[in-house]
Amino acid sequence: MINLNVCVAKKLQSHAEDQIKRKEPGILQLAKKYNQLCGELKVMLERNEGPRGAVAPLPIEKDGLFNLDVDDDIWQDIGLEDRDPSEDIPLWLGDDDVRRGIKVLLELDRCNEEQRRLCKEREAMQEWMMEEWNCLMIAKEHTDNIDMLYQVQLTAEYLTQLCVIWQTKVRIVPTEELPSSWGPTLEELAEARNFLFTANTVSTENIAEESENDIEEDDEDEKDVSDEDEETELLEAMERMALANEYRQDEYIEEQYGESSQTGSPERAGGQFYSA
Amino acid sequence: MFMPFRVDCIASIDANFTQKRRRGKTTDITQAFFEHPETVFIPREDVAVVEKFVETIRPQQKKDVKGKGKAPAADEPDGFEPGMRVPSSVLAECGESFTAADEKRQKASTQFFADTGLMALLCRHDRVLWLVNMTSAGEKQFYVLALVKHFFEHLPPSVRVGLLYDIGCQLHRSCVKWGFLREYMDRIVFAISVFHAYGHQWPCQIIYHPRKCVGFGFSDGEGCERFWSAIKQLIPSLRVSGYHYRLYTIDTQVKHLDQKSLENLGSWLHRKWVLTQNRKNAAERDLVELKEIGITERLLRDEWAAQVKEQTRPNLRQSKNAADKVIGEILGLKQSLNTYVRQAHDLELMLESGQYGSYMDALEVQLQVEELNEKCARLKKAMSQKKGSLGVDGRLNLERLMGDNFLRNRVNALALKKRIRNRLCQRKFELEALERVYRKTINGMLI
Repeated sequence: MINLNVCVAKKLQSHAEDQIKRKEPGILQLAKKYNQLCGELKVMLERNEGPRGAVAPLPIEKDGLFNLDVDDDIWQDIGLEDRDPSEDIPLWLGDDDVRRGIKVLLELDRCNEEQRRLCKEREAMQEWMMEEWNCLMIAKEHTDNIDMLYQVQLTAEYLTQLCVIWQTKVRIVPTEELPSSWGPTLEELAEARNFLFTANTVSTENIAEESENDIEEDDEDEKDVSDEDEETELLEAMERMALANEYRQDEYIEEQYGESSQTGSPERAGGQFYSA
Repeated sequence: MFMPFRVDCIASIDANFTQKRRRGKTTDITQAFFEHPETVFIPREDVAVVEKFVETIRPQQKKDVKGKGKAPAADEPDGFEPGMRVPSSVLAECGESFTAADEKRQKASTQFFADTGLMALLCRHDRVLWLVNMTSAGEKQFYVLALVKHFFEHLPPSVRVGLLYDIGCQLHRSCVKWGFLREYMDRIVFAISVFHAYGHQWPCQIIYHPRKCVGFGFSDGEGCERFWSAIKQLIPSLRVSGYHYRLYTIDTQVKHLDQKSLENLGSWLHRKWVLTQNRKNAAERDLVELKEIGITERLLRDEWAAQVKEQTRPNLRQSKNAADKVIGEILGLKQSLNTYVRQAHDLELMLESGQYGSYMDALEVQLQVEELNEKCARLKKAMSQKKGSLGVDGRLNLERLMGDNFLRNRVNALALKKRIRNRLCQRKFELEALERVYRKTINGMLI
């Protein structure tokens, strides 16, 4: 799936580039003409033929011309606008360092805004989790209904897992006022972590990789088996594995898993196949 | 140090015309009603109310009337409409560039499609807040207004919103001009989506670009693109589905995306944090460097303020632009006049010397001279007419340009640069569909 995406992306990119190139000559020619004019103006300025206080305009750079980014020079008509010769050229127009500085300063402003927002969002995240957890615990205390308790337990499992996923990721974002606990106890979190970790080890990718490796070995060991037979057998085994895997990912069946291995666990399916 | 946020939350709006539904034989809205219990669609009735409201306040103009109406506006002195920070002339140009792009884009025809697209309001974490089902051929303003209104109805009365929209400047202008969203206006900060900023005039970008506008951080309004990409697999099947079924399916998909996004919020924060820290470090490093050569933050802030003030000044543009155009024409006329005069002079020399070129005789040359003289007279008349239309400044300017190669070249260079900019913008609009698809795929992979 990922490979397919990469493929499509590449194709589209090359197509987009072709499209740009098709019209590029016209625009590039204009740019060339413009740069020529800029050159002439510069020469004139050097010969002191321009008015007092005039600056040479910036030539257009061909790279990145199509980005039209907000910070690109293409938007600025430096040296092209008519100015009152008695006034000095303002720094934001004439001084390269100041122009760069303004861009950097604005970037820094946005960084600081973003940073504060992210901190707030991280706090909101924890507050939400604490509140949800709190509500859930109160609900648990107030009910004896076994169905309700089961639902509470399911939600608790979901929340602790979410908590584990979130906590590890947002540890990097500092926070001051909130307690270190997000609600669930350390034991509960450890259990969730354990579950998540275990579930991860049997993801489809791993199994696919394993079986691929094994197939290669098998090829070497049993050359006398005809290819067609092997392929059908392989497909069957993989199908069984995928089926078993789906069962396995389901958390509630997991516990009964050992007992129900007769219905086709990966080990069994694999075992059948490899021993063949 | 505690500084309040300029806006409390940031939302973005975008329309999409790929999510269409074909017109069936029967009016299938009447089919059995069913709806997702947690639907994100704004009810049709609510949208209709907003539409009606907009219609009564601003009666729909006919196309040709609009075209005529715009022409004299160019002669009016430029200025700020009350409440706006960008001159009217700039706003008009922005609007035109987007309407042009809009018309070029292949729009869903209402003849074949009962529903022509979707418009979405998303928060800055790319989660869908509300959707509107569009039934018109183009992007109509009342959809946006309906979304924003609905949004504010769900917010506490003190929350301020930063709103990112492709043509945020136009929305701002309409709201100010016609009094749309009046009760919420003081709580909205308008901005334009980064992806479409190139279609706006520079003075408009200075004010509305989220990188330049205080309060937006790195929100860029790109989330909508990711959302369209996430539901694009529904396009084929929903095109031939029933009205309610289509909305239900989209609702279900949105629910699924919400669930997925909830788990990913942690890594979202992580990614943004790392990115922000990197950019911040780089920016701080640069600023320290600049400080060493004597450029302080204070200076930069003052210069930026001066730049904003200067580049959004109305009189700098409009009237001067018109004059510049006339001056350019006069310069052109002058050049051809010179050519004609030279030709006529050559021919007169021929008559004097009696040595004619091949296939020519005295009569022919005389005729040609007369013709040239006539042309010259016409040009001179046109020139004096044009000169007459110039103000005092314009005439002075013209005299300066006539005598100065440098100034003339500079005017030409400026005209050329403007043309390059326009061509680039047009090109980008044309490529937009393509680029969208491409970026979507890339974005999808990154997430």
